[in-house]
Amino acid sequence: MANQPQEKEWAGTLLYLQKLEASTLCTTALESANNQVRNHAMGLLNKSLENQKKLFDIMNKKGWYQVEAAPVEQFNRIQQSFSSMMQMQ
Amino acid sequence: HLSTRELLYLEDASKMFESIAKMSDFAAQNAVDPQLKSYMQSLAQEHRQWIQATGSIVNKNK
Repeated sequence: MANQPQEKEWAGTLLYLQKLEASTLCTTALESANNQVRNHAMGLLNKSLENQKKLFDIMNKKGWYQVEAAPVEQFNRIQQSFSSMMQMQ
Repeated sequence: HLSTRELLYLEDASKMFESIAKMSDFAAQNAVDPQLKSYMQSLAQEHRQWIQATGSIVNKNK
């Protein structure tokens, strides 16, 4: 498809903007004393997270945003770290 | 009824909504892929609604 490189770039830019948006809305909720403002920010934050996931899924299916599994050694090291923490509880 | 902090964060959020609405409008008009085009159209429309809803909250608290 002729427009694919540009489409990938537009999608990537919007994904980035949505991450900033979610961060702004989270801070707004945390910093709001007014219940109406807090609830408004929380509602929009949930919608923003859903929108971001939809866009990520579109990009992932098109091969525009691939996520690789962590190396086995790293997984084992962190799993061991969790085992220690869980035993101390 | 609103603090300086609340007003500034709401203003920041609305500027962010405006940026996303403009960018997704542009992408919706120029995208060829139907799935991406449809997503971008919905995103732009939703963000224009968010700007209205956020402005209403400020107005209601006067």
